Amino acid sequence: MAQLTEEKLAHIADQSRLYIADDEVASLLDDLNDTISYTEKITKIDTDHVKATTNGNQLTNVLREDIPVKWEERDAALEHAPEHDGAHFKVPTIMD
Amino acid sequence: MSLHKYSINQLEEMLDKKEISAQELTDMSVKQIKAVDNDIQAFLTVTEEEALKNAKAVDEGQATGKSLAGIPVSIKDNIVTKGTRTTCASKMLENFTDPLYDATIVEKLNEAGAVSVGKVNLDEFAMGSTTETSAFQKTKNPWNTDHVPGGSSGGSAASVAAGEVIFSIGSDTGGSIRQPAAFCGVTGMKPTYGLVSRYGLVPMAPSLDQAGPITRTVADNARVLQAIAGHDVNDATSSKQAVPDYSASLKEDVKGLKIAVPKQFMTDMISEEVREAVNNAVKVFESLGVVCEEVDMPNVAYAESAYYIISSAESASAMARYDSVRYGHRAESAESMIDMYKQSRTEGFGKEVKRRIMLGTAMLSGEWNEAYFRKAQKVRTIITNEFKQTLSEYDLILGPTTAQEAFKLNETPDKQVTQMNDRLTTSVNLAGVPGLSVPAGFTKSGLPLGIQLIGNHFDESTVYRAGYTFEQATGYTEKLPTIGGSEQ
Amino acid sequence: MKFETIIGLEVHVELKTDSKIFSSSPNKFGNEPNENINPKDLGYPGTLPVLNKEAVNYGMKASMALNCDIADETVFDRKHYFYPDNPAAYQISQDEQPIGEHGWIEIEVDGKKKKIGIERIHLEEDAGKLTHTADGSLVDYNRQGTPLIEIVSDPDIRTPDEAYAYLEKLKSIIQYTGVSDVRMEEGSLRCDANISLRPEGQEEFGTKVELKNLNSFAFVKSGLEYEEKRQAKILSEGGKMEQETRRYDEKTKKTTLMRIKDSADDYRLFPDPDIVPLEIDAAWKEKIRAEIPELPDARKQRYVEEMELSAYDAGVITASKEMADFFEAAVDHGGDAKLVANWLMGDLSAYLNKHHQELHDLAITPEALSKMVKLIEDGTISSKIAKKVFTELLENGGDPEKIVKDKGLVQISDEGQLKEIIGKVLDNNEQSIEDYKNGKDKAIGFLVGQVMKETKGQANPQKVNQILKEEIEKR
Repeated sequence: MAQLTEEKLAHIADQSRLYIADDEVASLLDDLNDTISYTEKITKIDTDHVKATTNGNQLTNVLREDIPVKWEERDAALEHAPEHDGAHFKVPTIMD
Repeated sequence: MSLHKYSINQLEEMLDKKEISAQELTDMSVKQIKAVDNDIQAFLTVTEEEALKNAKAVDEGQATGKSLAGIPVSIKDNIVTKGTRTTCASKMLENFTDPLYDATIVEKLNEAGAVSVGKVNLDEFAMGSTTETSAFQKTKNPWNTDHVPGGSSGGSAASVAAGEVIFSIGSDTGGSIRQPAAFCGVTGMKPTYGLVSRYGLVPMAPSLDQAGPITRTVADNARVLQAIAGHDVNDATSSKQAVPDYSASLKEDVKGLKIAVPKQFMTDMISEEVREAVNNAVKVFESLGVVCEEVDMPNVAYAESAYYIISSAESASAMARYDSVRYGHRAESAESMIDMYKQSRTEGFGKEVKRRIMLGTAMLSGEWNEAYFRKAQKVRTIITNEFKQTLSEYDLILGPTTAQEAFKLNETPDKQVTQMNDRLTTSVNLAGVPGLSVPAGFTKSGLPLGIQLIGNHFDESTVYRAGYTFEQATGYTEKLPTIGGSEQ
Repeated sequence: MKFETIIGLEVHVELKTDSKIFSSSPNKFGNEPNENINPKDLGYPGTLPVLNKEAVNYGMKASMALNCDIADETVFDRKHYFYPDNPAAYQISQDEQPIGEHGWIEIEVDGKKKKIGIERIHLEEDAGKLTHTADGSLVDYNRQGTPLIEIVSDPDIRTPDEAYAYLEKLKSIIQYTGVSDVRMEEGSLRCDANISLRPEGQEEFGTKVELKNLNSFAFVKSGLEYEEKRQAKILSEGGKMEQETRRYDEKTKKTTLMRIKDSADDYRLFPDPDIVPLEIDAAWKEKIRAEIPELPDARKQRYVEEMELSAYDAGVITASKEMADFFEAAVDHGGDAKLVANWLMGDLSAYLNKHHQELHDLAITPEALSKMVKLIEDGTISSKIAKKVFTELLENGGDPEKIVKDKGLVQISDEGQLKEIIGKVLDNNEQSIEDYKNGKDKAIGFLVGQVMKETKGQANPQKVNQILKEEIEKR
């Protein structure tokens, strides 16, 4: 049965860009593994030749015509940002 | 006069005859919010000024002939409203004062002349079934404030039940309209996937999300759905099917319909009182000439498992954009870019949201992507086919909306009960079919219960017809809650 | 030990649709920061992608021109990674089923032709642009959502020269289809290179290194050359290669380590539920196929067969669609093909290189060039004078006949007029006549030069030579 280990949870948290406090690790692991165990039963279902459902419905080929539309709220959008510098959004310096 | 007493049809007539003005209606709504919302805690933002301005425009004839002219509405706070703060009940978006665009639903409500009085509470980013994961407040059940209103559209259901508005727009990813509607004794519709535009509905799990109306009566519900349904070029998953006239389908005639009651919806996890309500509903329908039969839908038993995997994975993806770069909460003391991301997200999201992000990330990572996520997508196909098969033999599927009455506040519900609840509602989202919860009685302690009517894709008409007939035959909708039922 | 070099190239090409691939913002280069954005481009909650049909058409067209099979059915996937230039924290791309696959292009290096396979071409969205300052990093989302195709070659390339030829050919073909400006300096064409070495005769590939910051085809070649040597040295000394990403430095012409590839990188891919599957039927494919213009190789062959250009000349002319179109228009106006080609490949190309300009920046028209060539052919102007006319045409345009007339550049072929001038020149250069008669042939050159000086270069050189000799004999 597949389960998360402490190590894998740390990796998952990193991939999710989240911190987990040390005292939360054990209960979170239990909680997640509980759900994972519960869902395990679907792995036993025979799904050979079954197509995956990737969308909420069966539509295909929904396309837009190539017509540009200018949006006039850029300045308001910049004001929304936690930090901006002139017309740029700003974040702490990226060291690569 | 209390808002409770009137249907949209009646209010329309009164407005036409100038027996009441839209401004008076809005005023009643705002007064009721002021009177009861301290106890109910449904509203996160009340837009009184804006509402009165819009009501005035209605009175001045700007919405003459529009289907929802002057009708007060509340909007779940995960539906974006231009110029009005949209928080998703999350600290992450606490200061998202203006999304700078309107959801298509909001545009349609505006076009129909509805008057929004504010934004209502939900579980944070719609993740929960009690509205307790809101970062801001806990909404109470108007029938008994020691109980939750359900969730995640708890603010929507409570605001309708408490007579603060005539109707509300909620969203439903795994039961978030139907379950709170059942808990609050109101009527909630999760439409067919693709019927209502998702543009501007903040996604939780985009392949499952649908917005829909929460109303007191079935007739109101049909009327609201009519106004918000239809194709939208901004949503590629929005259906191009013609929207039928739902109100025209509301006749008290269900003779000859065939209704299936799946065994898998009536397990031991269903409380006695709920079982009784469903059995009673079966009897009511049978007395009206419906053939009700128990059916076996074995794969429905996998619905909640498939749902946990698919919804958490899609949620993890949908939540990734909250990175504090362009909007949203940014931690103050970030030391580097990655630290900024991690700190901001850790501070900005509540426990349940973080739990689901991590579960979903795990489900998509490495070998689990195929073993769990893609597997669950295939199981979803099997479940959908089972619904289609059953609905090719029966007009409707009937079951409880919830396994039991509304949970008590601050009480972690039993896991098995939660799983059963999830099966009842998430299976419908997985299959993409419409599901309507209608009031179906009360527990001994006086809490409302609901039954769920499930129809074929885009056959909301039959669902409404059965719901309406049931409502007219039983009259459960007439009873009003203790709080908010001002003329009790 | 002898090594064999294995090179694979990943080329990103921006498609020049009017709007972005999943939003209706304008798709434009060079505007003010964050001018071409909307809530979708900013990843605002609740916004949804809607696929631009033209982006699909362009992707299909490029794939067809590169001999790819076009998918019958494809989906768009979410590729997750956190970065400030990636507003939804996932890039919409095609993972499972690219729009095109199993293509190829033919290159020629040192007279040898070779087919380079194309593994896949997929459609995706571009990211925003970051500028780093000491005080913070700045983000501009104008480029976010620009439609891209990523063209992944098979590992068929064996030398940096082949890599260069592949890129030249790829650029030329895409340019012909008209789906992109393919300008590396504007970033509408970008290239990453993978390179590994293996001992000659070994089947298994060596560990590959990815090269970044290759901002011109010449840098790609130079970076690969450096890397080839670096890897050979490590391997011959018994060292092992690490799977790493390296950065090319334009100044030192060396590569430096950026990062060791992290096997933990996990993009958590899955089909985007917001975008519905795309089915491409035969009719759609045929419609696009019919829009593909004649491609460079076909044109080259036609020029050789029908216009009697040499294979080399035809290759040079057809490498750029603009040049080839100009050439053909000039020939259509009656200009001699060989002469037109020579002017384009010679003076015109030199002028473009010198001024860093492109053909469309110049004032000259194909009609003007063809007229000028005709003036040379009928002897109205000399080739030497033509250079003056040509410069005038490049810089200011106009009608060559009028230029020649206005500036008095018509060639002097009238024997009487020439005899008179020559007589004067001979009178003033007795010594040269003496020299010539004493067998110093060089003296005639000097005399011709004097005649040209007198006529400001307009004398017909053949006639001058002939009359000079006759006149000297008379003396």
